[in-house]
Amino acid sequence: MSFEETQGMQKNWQRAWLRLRHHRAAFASLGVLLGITLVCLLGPALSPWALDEIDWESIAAPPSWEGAHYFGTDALGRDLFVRSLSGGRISLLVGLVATAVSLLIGVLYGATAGYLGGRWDALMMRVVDVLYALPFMFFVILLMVFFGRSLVLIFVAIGAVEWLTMARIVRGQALSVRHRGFVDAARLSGASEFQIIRRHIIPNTLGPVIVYATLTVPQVILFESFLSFLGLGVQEPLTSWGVLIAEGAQSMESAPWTLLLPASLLAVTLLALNFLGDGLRDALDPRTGTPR
Amino acid sequence: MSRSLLWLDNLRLSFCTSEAQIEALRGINLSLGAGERLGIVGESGSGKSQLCFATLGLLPDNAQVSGRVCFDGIDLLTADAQTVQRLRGNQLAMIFQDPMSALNPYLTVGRQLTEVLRWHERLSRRAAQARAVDLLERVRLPEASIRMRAYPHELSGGMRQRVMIAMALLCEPRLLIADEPTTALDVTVQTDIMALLQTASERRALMLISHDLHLAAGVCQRIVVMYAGLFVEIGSVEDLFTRPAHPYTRGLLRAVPGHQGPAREPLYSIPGQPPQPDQIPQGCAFAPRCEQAFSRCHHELPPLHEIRAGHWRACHLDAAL
Amino acid sequence: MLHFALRRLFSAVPTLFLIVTLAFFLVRWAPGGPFDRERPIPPEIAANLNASFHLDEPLWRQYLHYLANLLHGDFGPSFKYQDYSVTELIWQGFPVSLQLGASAMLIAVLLGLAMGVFAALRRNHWMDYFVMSTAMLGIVIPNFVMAPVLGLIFGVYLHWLPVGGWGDELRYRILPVIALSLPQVAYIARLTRASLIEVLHSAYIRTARAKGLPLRKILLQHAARPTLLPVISYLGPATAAIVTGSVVIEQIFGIPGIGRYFVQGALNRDYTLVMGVVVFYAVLIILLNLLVDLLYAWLDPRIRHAQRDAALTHVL
Ligand SMILES: Nc1ncnc2c1ncn2[C@@H]1O[C@H](COP(=O)(O)OP(=O)(O)O)[C@@H](O)[C@H]1O
Ligand code: SF4
Ligand SMILES: [Mg+2]
Repeated sequence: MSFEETQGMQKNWQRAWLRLRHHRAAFASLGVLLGITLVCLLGPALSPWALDEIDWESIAAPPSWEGAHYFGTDALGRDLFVRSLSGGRISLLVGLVATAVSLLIGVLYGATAGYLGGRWDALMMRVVDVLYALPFMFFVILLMVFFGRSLVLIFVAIGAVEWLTMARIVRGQALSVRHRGFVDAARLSGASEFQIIRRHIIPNTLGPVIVYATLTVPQVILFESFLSFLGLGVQEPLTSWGVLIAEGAQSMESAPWTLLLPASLLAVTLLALNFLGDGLRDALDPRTGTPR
Repeated sequence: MSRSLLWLDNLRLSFCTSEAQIEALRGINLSLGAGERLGIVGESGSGKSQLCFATLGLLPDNAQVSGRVCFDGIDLLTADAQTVQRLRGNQLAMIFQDPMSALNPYLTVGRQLTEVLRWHERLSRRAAQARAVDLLERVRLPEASIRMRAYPHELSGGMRQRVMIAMALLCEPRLLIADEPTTALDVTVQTDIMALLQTASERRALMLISHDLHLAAGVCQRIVVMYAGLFVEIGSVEDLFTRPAHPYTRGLLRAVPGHQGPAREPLYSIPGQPPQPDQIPQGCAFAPRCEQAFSRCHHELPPLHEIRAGHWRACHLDAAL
Repeated sequence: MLHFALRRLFSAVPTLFLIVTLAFFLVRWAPGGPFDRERPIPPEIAANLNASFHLDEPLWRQYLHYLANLLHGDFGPSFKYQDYSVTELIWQGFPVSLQLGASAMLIAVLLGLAMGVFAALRRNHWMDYFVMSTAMLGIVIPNFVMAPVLGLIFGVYLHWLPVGGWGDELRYRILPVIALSLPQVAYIARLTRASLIEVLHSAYIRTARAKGLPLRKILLQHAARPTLLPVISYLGPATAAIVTGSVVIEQIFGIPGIGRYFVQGALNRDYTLVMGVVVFYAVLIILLNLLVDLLYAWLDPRIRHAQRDAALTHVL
């Protein structure tokens, strides 16, 4: 990439950042997400209660300052504040890692197909089409049933489901940049195919990929919660928002906060991620591929 | 002057966008008599299409209009929706620039034709069908009755434009507006379509939009030259070709190959670009490109004034030139 | 059209084949599965399995037997419910799940379309913002949250509707159907709004206006079909989402449908049952997708698949 081109790209990113800052909902969402992440990371350490510690004096107690149960306690007398934030760590972690897995597979696959073009492209995309029609949720559940419910399997399984759309997006972008001047120039100067994909195709597809990745994170978090809600996801002693919601649904009649507080955390996170994705879409304008 | 069919009075049109206020029409005055054929010529972006849309009231949500658009004595800008609907497609009809996107891809040609007759003239399905076929034959669409069942994508560009023309003529409108009817077509079918328009505009008024002065001159009696949302010269075809009075018109004439000038002169084009619609210069909008511009041109907007009977222009230069 | 239908049907074959094969080998390789010779399994089950899978024969013959059985609609014996075959269990639950899912889909489409059209016609008006924010809530509040919350409000606090169970009376069905349909109502509303707004900006709608047609005719005759097309493309993913959603909804409200068996089977490690449900639902979803494709092609005279795919990626 030439010096001017690098400069131009930097300018484009700066402009995109400015546009994002003007998108009020998206920018506020970014703040909310950072806040939630920070609280999830630090919050549990600030509470006198531990994750599994049972407060025999307050079982299913409503939120209160005196006992330092800011979110109340669950049906077993465990502190819901600590549990919600620790659960948040797991939910966010699953969201990020599984998205990263899907990103890795999708970007590599899509960039390769788009770069190779022709018959290879047609074949690789046909495979994606076939996989698209599979009800993948059920296959992930199958995997969890057969091979046990471990966090790593959740990462891999969900990531392996979510890469398809990413591959399509990247492939479309790659097809469109394939014949631009700088790729030809790189080829002439003796760069290997892999180098070209890594140095030229992938950077140029970054805009739409960021947008889609941002929108994938809430989907993954949702899916993990869904699995955990059914008892097929995260296992004790770990917890996640889905697990807490499932437990809360059991005790909601006597202790509604056990359902409503983790559920609100989940909903706010999903809302913020969706807004952020929309804002990024406007700022990066995937129609033209790179930031305008 | 006899009562005109279409009368535009200080018509202004602007668009509100997030970045700027765009002025597309900056005060248009026009009077078109019944049966008159008027050409409107200008570079792309000068506001020709917006003028058509504003006349018919087909503007997007972000448009703001002011002034008057009187058709047969009715101000279309203030008339109620029903009155306007009665007139559109019935007494004023429009032919669009790109027949591919202007025809609904999901409906058959026949359906798109007959619905006009069934709505405006309350014809029965059968009567509407017969009339539509009749019109398709009049615009010389081959195998008209079979084409009624075709979808737009099954027709060629020229055939689509014939359908558009037939559609506009269905209710025998008194005013026909044609916005660059041949721009989207092959050069080979251009002459056919222009000939068709010529016959179609007998017994009715025509407003023909074009970026090609010669094309307009072939059909029209009077020509308006438009620049950056304003009329800069109005005159008969003869006035414009033999006595072009505005520097922009002269530039257009020189830029066209085949004009009657010194034959050896290399093909000329007006230097520079038309102004961006959100940064139209103060004073004469043509000044940055005008070879004869002087200081007054940059500050004062030249008004449109009559320099001979029926020949108008908007320029600060001496009329004697 | 017939040609197109056959071609689409044919192209679904590799997908179906892939699903069946994947399911077979997953179960085969699963540790502690029904075919695990290391672990002792109850002799009745061993006999059942042997009868339907011919465990004594080589793997590829077993696979062929399995395929042949599937073609007859036989999913083999349940691993846990010893007196039932998986096919029997599925057919027990299916009518219930079908009623639940079909009602939810119907509501999602009708309500989603109505909301989307309403918002699009009042674009940037406060009513538009209101309807679309509500739709956003439908998207970020998952149905396994919505269901218990609805139960809490209308069942526990207000005593208007039962919190669980299933019966022929309408009152048993209101909460599960609403909880299941809400996210899809929201998606379809957003999709419809965006689609109608785009269509209303297209040149052919301007032509329709230039013809003097009234708004009612423009909407019904010129805008309806192109507006519906992306929504119809979405019906495939929507079906998958409703099927998946019904699993939690049946669990929460204690509804005796397939989803409930599925979760029970998954928690009990009832391999054959889980696999049977997956294959059953996969086939169902693929067939429904096929129907959606045909509907789409029927509505779009150009059968422009490029555009359809574009619409789909737009949604996802
Ligand atoms: N909806 C809109 N919003 C903002 N600007 C517009 C809109 N529609 C047209 N314009 C601007 O109005 C000007 C006139 O356009 P148009 O009438 O189409 O030109 P012409 O037909 O002469 O080529 C153009 O500069 C165009 O950018
Ligand atoms: S007013 Fe001045 S700038 Fe404008 S056309 Fe006339 S001479 Fe040129
Ligand atoms: Mg135009």
